[in-house]
Amino acid sequence: MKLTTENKQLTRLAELMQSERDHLFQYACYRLGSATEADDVVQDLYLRLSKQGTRLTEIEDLKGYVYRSLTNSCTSALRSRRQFASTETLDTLSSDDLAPKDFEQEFRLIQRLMAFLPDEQSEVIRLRIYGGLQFDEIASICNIPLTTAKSRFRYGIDKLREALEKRGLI
Amino acid sequence: MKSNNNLDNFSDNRIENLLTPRFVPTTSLEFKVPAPRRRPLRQAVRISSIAAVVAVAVVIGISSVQTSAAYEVVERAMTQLFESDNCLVQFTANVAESKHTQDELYNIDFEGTPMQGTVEIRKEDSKVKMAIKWQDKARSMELYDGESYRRYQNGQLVLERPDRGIDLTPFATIDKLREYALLTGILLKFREEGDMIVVSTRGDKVGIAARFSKSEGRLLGAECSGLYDGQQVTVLTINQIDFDVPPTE
Repeated sequence: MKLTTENKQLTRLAELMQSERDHLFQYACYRLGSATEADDVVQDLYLRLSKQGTRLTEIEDLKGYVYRSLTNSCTSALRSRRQFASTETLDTLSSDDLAPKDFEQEFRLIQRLMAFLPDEQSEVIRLRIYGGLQFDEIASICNIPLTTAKSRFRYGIDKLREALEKRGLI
Repeated sequence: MKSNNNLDNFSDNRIENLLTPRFVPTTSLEFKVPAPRRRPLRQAVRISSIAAVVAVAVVIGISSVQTSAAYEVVERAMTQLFESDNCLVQFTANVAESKHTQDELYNIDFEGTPMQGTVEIRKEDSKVKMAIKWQDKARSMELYDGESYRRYQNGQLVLERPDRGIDLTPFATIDKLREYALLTGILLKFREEGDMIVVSTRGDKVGIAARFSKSEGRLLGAECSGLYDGQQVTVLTINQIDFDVPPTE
């Protein structure tokens, strides 16, 4: 059967989404703070992209486009919530919290660490660690220079290290 | 030019280790290439929007639970549906009379009048036959036997036309259901409330929520609702579902 260009691109999209599934989900999960919502957002994203028809064929960097769309979807989902800021700060963190024993504890810890950082730094860290992306890919998705992507990551990590050291936690 | 994707002289991995989950959250999402121009619901809706919504609510409700951890409930509910020779669904729907005489008698309508009815789904050989009985003044009944659509009012045949009937086989397996869900833009959500498992879907316009009993392993009921004039309006409620009841006349 001869596939049209649009069908080929749909196949490419499905294959990409499937191969990046865990990274996309984890990124959304730690961005939104909810696995259920992450599932919804990622599935919704696929539905939306697969309905774009011929517009899909014009996209060269499909992976970058998918991640950019996902970051936008997460931003919209967060905006539509009335309350999404974590009320827990690093000040209430104990050394026990740094050795989580199950998914819930670890999830909460990561959320608290991320909430401590400015958005632009936490975003780069999420894309790097949970999205599994290279810095040049992150730079392209966030529309920033490569050096900025790296420095935001480094500053974020440094900031967390200093904060935890200051509290005698590491 | 090849990009340098490493961080130079950055050896403190303690924070990165803290941020890297050991208990990795997982998803069961599957992304398959949609089969072009294969839209089971569209075909079903053409046949009868009400019958289709009822059938789809039942089958989707049951099938979608299979994605949950409550696997036993699903197994039992799936087995019940697909091994049952017939299924009797009692429902209430907001309906308005169709404007075209060749169409089905009623359409689901946000501004319609609530009316009670029953849908009987019966499997015979490889075909699915369906009858809708309305509790209206004319005791209307609509029959789909796989080859034709017939309408009776006050016991008299008033309309007959060829109709292929509803094909439920696209919903028979979880893989097909997922493909269907992706094609039609339906999202499946799942939550537990005591003895109940609630599966809800969200499409472009109308959502379906189905309730299952964990202890009994069966579908208890379902609701279809949608946003109309800024308000969430329930357009169809499935009050009771009985399996393997003796076929009615």
